[in-house]
Amino acid sequence: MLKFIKSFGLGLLYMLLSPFLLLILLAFALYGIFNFFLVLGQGLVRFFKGQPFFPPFEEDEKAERMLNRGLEEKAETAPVAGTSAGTTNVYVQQNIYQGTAPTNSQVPPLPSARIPDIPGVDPKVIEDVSSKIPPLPQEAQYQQIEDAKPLLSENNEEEAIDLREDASDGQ
Amino acid sequence: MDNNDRKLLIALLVIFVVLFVVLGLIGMAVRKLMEIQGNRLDREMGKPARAGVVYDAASFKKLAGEKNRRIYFKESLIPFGLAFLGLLVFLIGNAITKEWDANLLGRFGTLFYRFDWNNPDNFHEFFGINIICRFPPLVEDAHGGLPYVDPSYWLAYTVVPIWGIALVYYLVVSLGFLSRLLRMNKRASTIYDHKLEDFNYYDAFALKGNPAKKKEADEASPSKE
Repeated sequence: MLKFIKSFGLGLLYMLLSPFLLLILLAFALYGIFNFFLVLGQGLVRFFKGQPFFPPFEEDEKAERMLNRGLEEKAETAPVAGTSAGTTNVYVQQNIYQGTAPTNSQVPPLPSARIPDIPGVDPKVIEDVSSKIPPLPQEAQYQQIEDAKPLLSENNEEEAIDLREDASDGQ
Repeated sequence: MDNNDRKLLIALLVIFVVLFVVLGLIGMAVRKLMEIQGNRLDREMGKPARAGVVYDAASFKKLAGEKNRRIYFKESLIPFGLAFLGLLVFLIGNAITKEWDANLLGRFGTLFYRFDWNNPDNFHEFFGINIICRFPPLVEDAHGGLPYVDPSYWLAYTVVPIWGIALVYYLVVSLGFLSRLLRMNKRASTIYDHKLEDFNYYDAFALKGNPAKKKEADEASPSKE
């Protein structure tokens, strides 16, 4: 019932406002005709100059590059279990034992590393590779892995500022 | 007021209520369409805004406006194409039939019931204004106002629907342009908002690591403790 009354009220409102709304719409439609021929002319000029009819926006390309770079950085900084080549992990030593350090028997056992499922790679191969990596010292195993960098890192912000400056120079 | 008048009044009331409800539903559909078109602009501007390439309201509006115009052009291609096709059919058809001054809308209207709207008996003067007071009867012509098909009117039957569809399509496309324009202005004012409405210097970061200022602030406003 409430929905019905709402529809009724809106209908009444639209009935009263419809001439003005239509007038606004017609004004934009007229502008659209002008815009159509303007964009068509610009596109044709570009086309006959050998350029694409609709060249991609410079801002879109820059954004794409920056976001891709951000994702690459994120992928590089993210730790991958069972591999060592090409990755540099930063281990931050936590002072867990402030007082008397426990003996080895008091330290709870660490959970065993899970071998990731990589499509197309035999898990045994990964197991072999990971068995060849020497184990880290006990202290280093209690670590805090640095989180992956956010998408817009400080470097990227600096780069964005550079790009803005470049753009303003270009204008 | 006799019984017939009462029935007529109730029927009129029902008709008006149904009319307003239908209009309301059409309005809601239009608003939904506007929301969808607005979301399209959000998708288009998502990457540049998130990457910081567009860094203030002016640059946001500049890029969004350019993209909006381009989308408007692309979407207008279909209705403009249809209108152009209609024009071609109109020119070729009239070149064949030699009936350049034919009333196309009137001829197309033969496909529907035709009512005598201009009959002065339908109107009644009310405070000096002529108001329609009854539903008009069918026109009295050779077909009695009933629908019929005349094969010689083929040009009107072809051209009028094409132009009608093109017009409605173009108005919908224009509505989309307007929706994106409104969304662009809204986003430009919210994304780069500098309002300090909920910001308080002492609640935020100013006192952290600055005991002298904290002491000064405490002394200035002891009630805050």
